[in-house]
Amino acid sequence: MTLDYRDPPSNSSDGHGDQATAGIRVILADSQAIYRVGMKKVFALEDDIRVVAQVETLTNLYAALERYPTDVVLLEGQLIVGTIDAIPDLVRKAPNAKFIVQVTETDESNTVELYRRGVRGVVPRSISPDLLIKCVRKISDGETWIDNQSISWVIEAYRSQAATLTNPRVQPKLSKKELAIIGCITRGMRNKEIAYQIGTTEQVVKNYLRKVYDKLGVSDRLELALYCLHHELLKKYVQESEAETVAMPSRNGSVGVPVSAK
Amino acid sequence: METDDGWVDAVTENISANGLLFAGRQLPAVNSRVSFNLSMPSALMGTEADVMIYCSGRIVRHQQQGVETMAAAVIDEYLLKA
Repeated sequence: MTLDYRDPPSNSSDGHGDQATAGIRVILADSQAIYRVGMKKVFALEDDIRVVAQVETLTNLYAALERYPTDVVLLEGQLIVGTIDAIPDLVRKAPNAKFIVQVTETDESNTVELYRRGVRGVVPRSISPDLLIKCVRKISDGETWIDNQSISWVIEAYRSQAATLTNPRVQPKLSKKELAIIGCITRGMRNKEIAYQIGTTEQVVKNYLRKVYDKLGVSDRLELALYCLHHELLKKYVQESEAETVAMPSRNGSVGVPVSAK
Repeated sequence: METDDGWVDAVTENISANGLLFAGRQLPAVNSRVSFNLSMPSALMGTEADVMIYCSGRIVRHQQQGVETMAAAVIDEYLLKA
């Protein structure tokens, strides 16, 4: 069984309308049944927390979020490994849901990235039941759940990024390969196509992309494209490449116009 | 901008990866679906052709800014193509 709905869906369509009566609606997204069963039992004792769905894959999580108004998603970190756009995608698809990621071990870059991309809490898999319940309640109330070590990491990353953004002399340094990959992204190519184009594997492209996101402080392809537009990143790259007489696609001489919706 | 009731003219005020703020004489209703294309000029993007982003989303609010009423749309889906 891959998608296991335990309770009937709420009639509310706005995601918050019946929270007062229905309590906190939680989706458990975990590849391991033992964890889902355990968490379900923990929440079953709480009157104000209701598990509306259990899923074991990311695909099923998308389906459950579409079907069930949700307040909090408890997401196993392993489910989003290698899918760098997963959190922003989930946040975009379910803006009313708040995401808690359960990780087996914490490290600085992963923790900072998770918070940067929109999760409200990062907790260890070994978290105690009492603390997990408290975490769900706090996050449902709109708070962020973060331990002291993670606060230091996030603040440090924020300072570092702020210094980069406010100091025009400090530009993120991107390698030729990273810039080539960005160029492919803005042409709408998929990771597999990019891998073929530059002669590497899809996983290597994902690794490069993660690095690029980190350096530029963006979280998905759309943000990356907007960053390129605002900073004329690829234009500079093409100009530098042309100066070095490296064969690159020629640019037409059209005059830039502001971004507009039509 | 394409809406459930047909095409409407709109002027972009601000844009981010999450959404778009725009003004227009006829604003789509809150919660209605909208589609729009963003054109990123090749001259700024360093690409051979303009980069197009095909976006679909929904209106989440209307807001008053001075004398102008604006609408904010979130982007639910997008497709990049040059």
